Amino acid sequence: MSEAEGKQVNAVEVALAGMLGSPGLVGVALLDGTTGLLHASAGQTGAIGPGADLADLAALVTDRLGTAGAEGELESFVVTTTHWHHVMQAVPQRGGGLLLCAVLDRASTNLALALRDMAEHARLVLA
Amino acid sequence: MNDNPVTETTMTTATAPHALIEELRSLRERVMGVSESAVSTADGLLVAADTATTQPESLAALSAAALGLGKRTAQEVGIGGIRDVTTHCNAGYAVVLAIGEQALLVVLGDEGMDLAALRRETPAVIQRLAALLDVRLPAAEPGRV
Amino acid sequence: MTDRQVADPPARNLPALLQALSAQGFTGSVRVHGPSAGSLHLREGLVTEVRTPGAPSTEARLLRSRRISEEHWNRVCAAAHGERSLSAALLGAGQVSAAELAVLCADTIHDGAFAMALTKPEGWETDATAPPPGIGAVPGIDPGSLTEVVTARLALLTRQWGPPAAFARTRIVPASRPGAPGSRVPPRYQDILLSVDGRRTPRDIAFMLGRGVYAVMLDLARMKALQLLQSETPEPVGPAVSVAPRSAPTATAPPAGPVPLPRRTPAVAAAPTGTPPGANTSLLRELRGLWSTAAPGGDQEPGPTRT
Repeated sequence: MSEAEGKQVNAVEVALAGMLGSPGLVGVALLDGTTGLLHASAGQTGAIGPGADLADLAALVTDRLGTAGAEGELESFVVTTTHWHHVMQAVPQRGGGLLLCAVLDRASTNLALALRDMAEHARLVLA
Repeated sequence: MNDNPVTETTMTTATAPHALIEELRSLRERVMGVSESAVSTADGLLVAADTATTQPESLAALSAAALGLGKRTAQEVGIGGIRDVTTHCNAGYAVVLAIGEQALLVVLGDEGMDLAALRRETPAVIQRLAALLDVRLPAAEPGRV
Repeated sequence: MTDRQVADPPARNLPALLQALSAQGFTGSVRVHGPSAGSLHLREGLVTEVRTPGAPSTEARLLRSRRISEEHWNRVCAAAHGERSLSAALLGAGQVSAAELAVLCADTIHDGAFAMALTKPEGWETDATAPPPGIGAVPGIDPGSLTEVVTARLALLTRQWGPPAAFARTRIVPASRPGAPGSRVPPRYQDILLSVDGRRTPRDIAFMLGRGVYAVMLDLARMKALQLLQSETPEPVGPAVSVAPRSAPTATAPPAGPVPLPRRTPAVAAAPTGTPPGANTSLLRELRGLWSTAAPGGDQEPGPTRT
C-alpha cells in the first residue's frame, strides 16, 4: 500500500476529528446526501440519527421547498431541540453530494458562527 | 427492380417486420447494458433498428465497414474466421457480429454492458435473425462461441 | 479442484460465504454467477471492490459525472504500470483527493453489492490468485456491515416503490405533465429527468449520470411521489420468435415470410434528395470504398455501383 493510498484511511476521519475543537460541537458525521450512507464520524454521534433518515429528511425538505416554488439549492438546515442544534450542511459534489451532520450543544454554541464554520468545514472536508 | 435507392431503403425500414424489431428489443431486455442495436446488410444498408439516439443509417454503414475491415484483416493475418468486431471505448462498446455473409448485427452498450451475457445470447439471436432474413449461416463449428 | 481455487467454505448464501472468508482473512476474489453477476474483491477479509454490470464502477462514476476528463483518465492509466496502482496514479495526478476517493470507493462497493443482491445468485467461486483491483478501498469494508446496509436498502425500496428487482428493470418514463405549476424541480431530479427516455432503466440512468444505482432508485421513488414520472412496466420477453415461414401469403396479408434484404442498385443520380433524411452523406460516401474492397468474393453482387 503506497503512502498515498494509506492516506485514504485517515483523511476524512482526521478532518472530522479536527472539527471537534469547534465550540459546542459534540459529534459530527459525513453521510452520502442521497442514500445516507455513513462514511466517517467523530465524537458523540448517538444524537445524529440513522443516516438514511437524515438523507431522506434532506430530500423531503428540498422537495417540499421546491413544490412551494423556492429557488436555489439546499445549503443547510438546522433542527433545534431543548438542548441541541442538529445542523445538516450540504457538501456539493458532481452527481449527488454529501451531508455533513453535526450535533452542537445549545448552551455553548453561537449558531450563526457555528453555521459559518460548518460551511467552511464542508468546503475542506474532502480536500 | 426498383432503381431509386431512397425509396427502397426507407420502404425496407418502414416495413421491417415486427419480428426483427422484437428480436432486437428482447436482446436489450436480456443483456444488461445494451442500449441500442440494428441489423444491416453486409454492405451497409439498414434493415431494422432498435435505436434511440444513434443515427441508424450511419450505424449500419459504419458497422458494415468495421466488419468488412475485420474480415479482411483476419484473412490477411491468417487467424481464421471472424467472430466479432468489438470497439471498446471509455463510455461503452459497439459489437458487430456477422449474420452469415449477407447481413450483420450491431449491438451498442454502455461501459457496464455484460459482455459475458452478450456472448451467451448472441449465437441464438443470430440464428433467429438469419431465419427471419433467410440468410444461410455456416455450419456450427465445435468450440465456436 | 484447480490450483486457483481454495476449498470454498461451505455457505448457504453469499453473505454467509463472505462472513466465512472474512473470518479467514481471505485475500482474492469471489465471482458470482446468475442474473446479477459480478465479482467482489477482498483483502485480508475486507471487501475492497465490487464489480458488476448492474452498477457503475469507480472509474465509470469518475468519468461519467465528469469529475475527471477522459484526457486526464487516459494519462492516469498510462502512468499506472508496474508497482504503481491505478489508485496511486490517480491520487498522484492531484485532481482527486484521497478523502474523495475513499468516499467514492466505499460508495461503489455498497452500490455494487446492492445491485448484486437484487436477484439470487446461481453459484460462486473464489480465486485466491486474482490480482488486486486497480482502484480499491483501503482498508476495505467489513462484509457483515455491507450485508446489513444492503438488507436495509432492499427493505426501504420495497416500502417506497415495490419489489426492488422489478424496479431495477423498469423502463422509466417522464410524466406527461410533470409537477404542479410554479413548482421547481430540484437540480438532482432535473438531471435524472434529462436521462429519462422511456428506454432506460434505473441502472442505465445511473451509468448515464455517473451516480450509484441505489441513489438513483431512491431519487426516482421520490420523483414518482412528486408525480414527475410514470413507470412503464417492462415489456414482457415473448416466446422465441417463430422462424417457420408461413404458407404463401395472400395479396392482402402483411409480409409473413423472410424479410428480403435491401440491395444496392445503380442510382439514377446521386442527388442529395436521394439520400435518406438524416443520413450522413459524406460518411456514406467515405465508407462505400471500405466495404467494396473488404467484401469477400463470391456470394455478393459486385460492390456498390452508386456514382
